[in-house]
Amino acid sequence: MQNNKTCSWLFGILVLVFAACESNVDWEFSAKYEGDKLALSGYLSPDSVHIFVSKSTNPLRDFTSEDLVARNPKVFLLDADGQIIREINSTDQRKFRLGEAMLVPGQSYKIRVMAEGLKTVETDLITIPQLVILEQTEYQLGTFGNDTVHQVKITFTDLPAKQYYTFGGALKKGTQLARPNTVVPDKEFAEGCYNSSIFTDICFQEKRVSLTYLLFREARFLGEKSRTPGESIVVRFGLVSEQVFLQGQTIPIDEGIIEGVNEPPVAYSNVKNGYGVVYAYNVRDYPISFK
Amino acid sequence: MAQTTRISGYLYAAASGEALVGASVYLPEQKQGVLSDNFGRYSVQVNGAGNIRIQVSYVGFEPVDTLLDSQGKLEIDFYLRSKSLEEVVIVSKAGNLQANVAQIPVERLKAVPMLLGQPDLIKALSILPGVSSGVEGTTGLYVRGGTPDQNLILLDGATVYNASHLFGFQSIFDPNAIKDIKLIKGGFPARYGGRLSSIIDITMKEGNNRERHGEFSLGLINSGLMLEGPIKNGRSSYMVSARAAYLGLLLLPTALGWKKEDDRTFNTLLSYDVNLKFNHQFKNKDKIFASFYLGNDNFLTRFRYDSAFYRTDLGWGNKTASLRYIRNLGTKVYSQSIATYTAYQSGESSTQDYINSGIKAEFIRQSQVRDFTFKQLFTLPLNASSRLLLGADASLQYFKPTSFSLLSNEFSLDSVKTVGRSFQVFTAAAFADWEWRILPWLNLNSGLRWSYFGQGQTRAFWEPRLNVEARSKAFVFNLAYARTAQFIHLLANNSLGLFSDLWIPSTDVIKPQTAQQYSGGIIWRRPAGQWEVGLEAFYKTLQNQIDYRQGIDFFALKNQDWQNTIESGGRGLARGLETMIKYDHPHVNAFVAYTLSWNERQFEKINNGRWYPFRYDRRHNLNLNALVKLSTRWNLSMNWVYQTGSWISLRSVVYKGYRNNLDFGQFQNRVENLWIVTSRNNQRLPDFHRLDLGLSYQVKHKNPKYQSQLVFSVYNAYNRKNPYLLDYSNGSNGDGKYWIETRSRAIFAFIPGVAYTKKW
Repeated sequence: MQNNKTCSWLFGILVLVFAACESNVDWEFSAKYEGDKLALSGYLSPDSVHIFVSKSTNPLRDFTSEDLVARNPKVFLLDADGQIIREINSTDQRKFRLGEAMLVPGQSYKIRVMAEGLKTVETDLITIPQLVILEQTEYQLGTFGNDTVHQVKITFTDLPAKQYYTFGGALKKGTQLARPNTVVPDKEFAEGCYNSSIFTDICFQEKRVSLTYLLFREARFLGEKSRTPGESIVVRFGLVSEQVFLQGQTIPIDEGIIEGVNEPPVAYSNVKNGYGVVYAYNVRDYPISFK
Repeated sequence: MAQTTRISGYLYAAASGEALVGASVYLPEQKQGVLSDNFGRYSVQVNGAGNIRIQVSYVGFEPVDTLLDSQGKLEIDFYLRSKSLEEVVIVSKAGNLQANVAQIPVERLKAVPMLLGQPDLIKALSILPGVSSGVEGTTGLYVRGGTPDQNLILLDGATVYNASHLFGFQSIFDPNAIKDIKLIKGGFPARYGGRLSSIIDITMKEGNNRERHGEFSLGLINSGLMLEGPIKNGRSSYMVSARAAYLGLLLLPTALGWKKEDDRTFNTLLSYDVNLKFNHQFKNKDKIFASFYLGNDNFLTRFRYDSAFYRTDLGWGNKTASLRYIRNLGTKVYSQSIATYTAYQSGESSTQDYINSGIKAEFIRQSQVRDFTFKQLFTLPLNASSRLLLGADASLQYFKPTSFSLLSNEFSLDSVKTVGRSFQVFTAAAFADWEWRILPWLNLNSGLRWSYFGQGQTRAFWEPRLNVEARSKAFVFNLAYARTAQFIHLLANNSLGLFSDLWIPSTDVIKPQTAQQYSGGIIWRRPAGQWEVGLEAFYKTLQNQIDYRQGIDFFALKNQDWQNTIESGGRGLARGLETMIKYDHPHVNAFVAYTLSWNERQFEKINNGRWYPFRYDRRHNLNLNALVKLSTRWNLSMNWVYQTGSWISLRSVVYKGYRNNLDFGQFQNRVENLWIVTSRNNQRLPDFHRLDLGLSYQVKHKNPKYQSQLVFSVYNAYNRKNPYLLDYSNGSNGDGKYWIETRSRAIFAFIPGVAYTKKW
């Protein structure tokens, strides 16, 4: 016992040697700020266009929300040749929405935005993905540890060229969709292929593919007895453009990390003369009824 | 035409019979000389017939100055007597100046004051021009714009893959077990290959073949013991050393006694290394050496959080074995046959044990490298003014960069087990180094290396090497070129040399790295020998560099083939100017080393394809180092380092937008402030500077057999707060104002240290 105390004491001394020395250091920012620019984020889908417009500012000095607002922005949808298809309207000068856009899968588009006092920006070409059809869906109730889970198997054929798929699942209670907290792919898919809810087709090679997912949490509350007629699982499956993938890799979920050890990447942007990401997706919902 | 001949032989310490590496053999009348090689062998050209004056010197030994008859025996060994303690000159007078090469006596490197007074030979090399350190206090060296993985570290000829102990704060090389360390920064001889930026060639002590001796060291971090002695008097000897870190040993009882019920965190770090070497000299002067190294680090943490116990084990370690046979084939030709084995492995195991549910989960990751190499060299004097070194090597390397497995009783499905892909790589090389004294003042060292890489798509590279040297009484001019190829890469998050750094081979996707280096320099030495000034310039280009893809790091590897996480095809450009001013005096040895350099990288998919400064692109790097003999018993050492701050990527733009807004296939329209980085390495940290002091005292013993030294040291004597870690946070005040706060933390403030060594 005495030995242990002595050891801990010595260990403590050594830890203190370093820990006591830890102190904050003040230093000057010198990172170059290239001036205020327009920043866009949003998406294009066959049915709609949604663009949020902002203005950048230098965060190395205090700022307010007003510093992030672009004055009188105008947003245009362009075709692949840069010709204006139509202007997109807004209610608050920040969110621009176009319903019933009727964009064609496989076709490419651009977004152009101009605002007072700022350089006009334009996105790179954004291609609406083709729709990939689920050829088969299977459902069964399973277990995962102590939890009961919905086990969903989907089957589809990988489209040619490099594709970025997205998968989501939700429990439908009446007309409400409740998004599960966790979706887990089966182990075969997890080996070297799975990254997140958005994943590449690196393992598919244009073949017919079956993937199994486990949908958590809601099952815990429902249980087998709770499955009542009228409730179902909704699977959302489709393709997204590469920009989503690149955005996810370079604009992390949490900025509060120890950056001296694990530095943040340079943020991806497909907006010329500005910042931000505009992407495209094409997904479909597949309801699966409980048997 | 004047008659020329060649004198060869070995240089030994008279008392121990140990070969003297890097000792000077100088012919003053002909103003030429050579340094002995790793086995103490020298070979020098003699012009003219008759008596030749020859001077042999080595730091700490009585010089020999003698006349030899060049018509007589041409194979001559010298045995140098060590000086008495009072006479030991603490300085090294390089007998033969060499550009691109630094060969500093181990005793001199041991005198460089270090963290907690523990000498570290690898870290001490960072005081040299053209060499800079990365993260403070760690062993990673950046030589002429290269990265730590581009340094070929050889321990008795065996490749060492990770030279770090204690999370990078100490190198694995026990100073008590090391005889010599040589750093080559450019103009590489063709017999060296496989790395782009430098060679760090380390030789273990062979052991005293006449008497038994020992050395014991006691420090704040670890303690060590070295024993050496004859096996057969004058013929064969052994050396064994062992060193262990305290923390693990002292906490071992606590570790064994830790119970799950204990509501406390338990951490411990065990680190040790063992060196072993045997050598034997046959009657015909053939020699055989066998050396072994074993070292490991193990970090264990256990704690209880909420209703679960957590345990994490991290471990990494090296094993090397080397067998070398040196054979004299007549009086002129000698051959070296070297067989080496290296194994490096790292891994982690994390377990979670939930108290109430009984669920247990264990995550295991492992990474391995194994390397078997055979090398054969022949040294062939062609005539009196030139000699050829011919050789070949072949390596079989086994890489298993990552294997993950997740075991749990929680899953109704089978546990996830991902067996990482392994690679067997065959490499081979043939090489020739030709040393030609064209004129008495002009030397040409040219070489050619052909290297072959077989894994997937096979590749072969020609690597020409050229080194031209002109000498006068006071000046040495040097021009050098080297093309180098490297078939392995280190995928690292930082320069700490951690368990998370992964060695990976080149594949069909990831091409071998290559580099070209041009260097030139001039060294002036005052004829009296006290002052020496060197100026060297280098220009280096690097191809096929790798980095993690944007947004990917080690922790993202768990579910992916590592090849998919890498950005390859990167380019690098480093150039700089190095100066060194040395002052040698029997009581003062001082030097100033300054490097002005630029170091940049470019990847197609990083930083939007633009060139950016390498993280450790340090514009200015200045070292002032002095060792002063205050009296026969007291020595003072100091080292002041100044470096331009390293680069970091700082979030320098903010806007409002959606973050990861397609989550599980559903559009999330929550708008947030996005704080982003727009160009990599856009902010320099404050300049780094620090003064370290050391004061050593030779303890007096009644029995002259014993020698003891007590070293007091102060790291960061004036308590400079050099940033070590960077924390980033942002938020908003109640008044609607947003703020960003970037705090950097210094952890290496004023740190005193003490160490004690005793020799007998």
